[in-house]
Amino acid sequence: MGTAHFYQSSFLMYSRFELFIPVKETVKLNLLFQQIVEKMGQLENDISKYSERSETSRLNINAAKKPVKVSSSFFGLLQQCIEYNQKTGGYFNICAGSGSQKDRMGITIDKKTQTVYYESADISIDFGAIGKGLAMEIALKSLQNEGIVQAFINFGESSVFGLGMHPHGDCWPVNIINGKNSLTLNLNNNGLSSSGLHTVNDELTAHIFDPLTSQLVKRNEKIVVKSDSPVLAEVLSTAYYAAPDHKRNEISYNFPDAEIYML
Amino acid sequence: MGEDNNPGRRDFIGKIAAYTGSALILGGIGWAGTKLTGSADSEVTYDGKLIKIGVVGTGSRGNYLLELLLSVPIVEVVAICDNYPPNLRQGLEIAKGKVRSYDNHLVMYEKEKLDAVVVATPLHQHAPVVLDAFEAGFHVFCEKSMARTVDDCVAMVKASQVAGKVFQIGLQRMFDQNYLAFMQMLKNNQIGRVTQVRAYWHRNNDWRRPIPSPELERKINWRLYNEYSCGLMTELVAHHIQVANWVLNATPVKVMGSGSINYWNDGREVFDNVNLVYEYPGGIHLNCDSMISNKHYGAEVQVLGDKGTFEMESGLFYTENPPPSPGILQLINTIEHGIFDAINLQGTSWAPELIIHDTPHYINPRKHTPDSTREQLVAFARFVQKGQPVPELVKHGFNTSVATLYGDIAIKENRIVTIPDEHRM
Repeated sequence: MGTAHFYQSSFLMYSRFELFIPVKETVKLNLLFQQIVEKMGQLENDISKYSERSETSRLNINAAKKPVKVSSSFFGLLQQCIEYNQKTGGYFNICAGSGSQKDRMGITIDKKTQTVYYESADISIDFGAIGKGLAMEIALKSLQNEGIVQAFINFGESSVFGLGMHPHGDCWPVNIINGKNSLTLNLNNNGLSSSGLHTVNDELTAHIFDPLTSQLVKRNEKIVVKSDSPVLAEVLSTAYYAAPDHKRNEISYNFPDAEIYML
Repeated sequence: MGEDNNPGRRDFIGKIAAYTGSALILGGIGWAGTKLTGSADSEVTYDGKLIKIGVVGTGSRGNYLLELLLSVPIVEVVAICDNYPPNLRQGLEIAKGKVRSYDNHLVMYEKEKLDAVVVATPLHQHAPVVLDAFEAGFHVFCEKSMARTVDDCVAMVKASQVAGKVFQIGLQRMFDQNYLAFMQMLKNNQIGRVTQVRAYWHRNNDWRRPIPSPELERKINWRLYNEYSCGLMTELVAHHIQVANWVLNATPVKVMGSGSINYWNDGREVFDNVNLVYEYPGGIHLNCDSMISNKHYGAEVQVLGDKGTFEMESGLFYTENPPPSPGILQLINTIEHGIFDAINLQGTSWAPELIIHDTPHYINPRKHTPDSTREQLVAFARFVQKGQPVPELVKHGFNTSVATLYGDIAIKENRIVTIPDEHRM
């Protein structure tokens, strides 16, 4: 307690969530951090496929057999994902499975009954490509509600947000590095998300699938999206990376406020 | 309490490490002019004579100890003793018939020129067998717990001091390389101030051994009867009490708890689940439990400090406040120096292979550590070879056993029991 700045971290969504606020640490800030972490944890419990009691897990087990009713907030999230799926030409897709290819996600949702049905038995939902963005939004909202106007959030080093200004400048400058290439972006009430290959045992490894072909995308490049919405940044970085060259312009066109970079 | 700079504890760790070759902690330790590495007796040449040992009690535990003793280069097992013929036969088989056998320990003590005995009889027989061994002038290794009653524990310690012989109780975690590494980390203040220890040991079996005839029930299944054993307390919980005493460098002042038979209602007398709270000086507590109707959680000792946590059975260490990631560290440093500069980020999008949990650190990256049960026997043989009792070991053995026995009283009489000062070494 009593350091010149506030820094705390917590493990969430199998990544490390770090919050830095350039003000003196206080009991109130510590409590705020705990509240943020609790809310993010609740989100994780609700949507993570790794959480046995999440709505996602419930759907993944039952929704191919018959329509399954979900909560309003979960239904709203699905609608949001469907919209992103449409606007990215299918390159953002939370669904996997043989029924989720080409131009369809493979799920049917009914607004009236608030139910979800999987169109084939091997469909499953995974919010991994958007989860951190959703969690970041929760964190930002909590900070802003408490009147915090300056902060830097780092979530697993691939999703960051610069709230307000750096204490010694008018933005939070960030260098994104990919091998020998680097890109400097200035964040002021916006954030970025990056997608690409990752390193396992010193080897570059692919993990993002092209939803339309179900093939692993192995381009040795990093896509970085800067946006004032952490959710959009995450959605677009994944979709843009997964999409072939000739589809990328369409995606950019549908999201004119996002800045998309390639390293 | 729990001062990491306690010279007694430092010396004790040093002595243990020296006799077990725990290079992990203290680097190469010279002993008898020979550098020790890896396991306690690897790459060692001996300049002392072989230690002649007799094993009293060749049931399942005793035979395991026998097997280990036969593998220790400085030990010669010359005799075994057990008053149950099938156990004795099994012991002879393990020793390939190359030892003399007895069914009465007094006869063995009279006839054999031993340096030491290893005692692995049922708990209630520890006291007479050990007292007779000191009387006969032998050093003693006795399986834990020390004895069935506090009075017997007191008598055994006094006898060892009068005899001036090595007296070691089978608490093998004191010789476990992972545990020793943890103790070094504790000494280095890596988890800060310890304010709680939690321990559990869960198994799922009835603990019964098959009996050839009904009259052998109490002899063979002695662990299930109060006359001979305190059940889970003396068989399992004792180890965790020893660890807590070691970590806290103290002994408990009082204990409370509850136990019952809620599953194995088969005529046994000892509880099939025990649940206790030991209070140490400074208001620090050990919460411990043991049961034998569910094995999901297995066994663990959790040491909770204000800077970090140990999970000693798993060999894991967690920090309370992991340092910032490199990018944030860079950010903090530049801000503190009044610098406005970009920070470097290299991460890519999340992938399943990059899952990190609350990152634990394995305190020993080696996949294999020497069997601590063997390490303790090798150490015992070396102490005997040196002819020097190790008072800290006696203290640990006594304090552990007494705290265990008082815990048993607490749960049986359903009251808070204060452990008298004269029973805390």
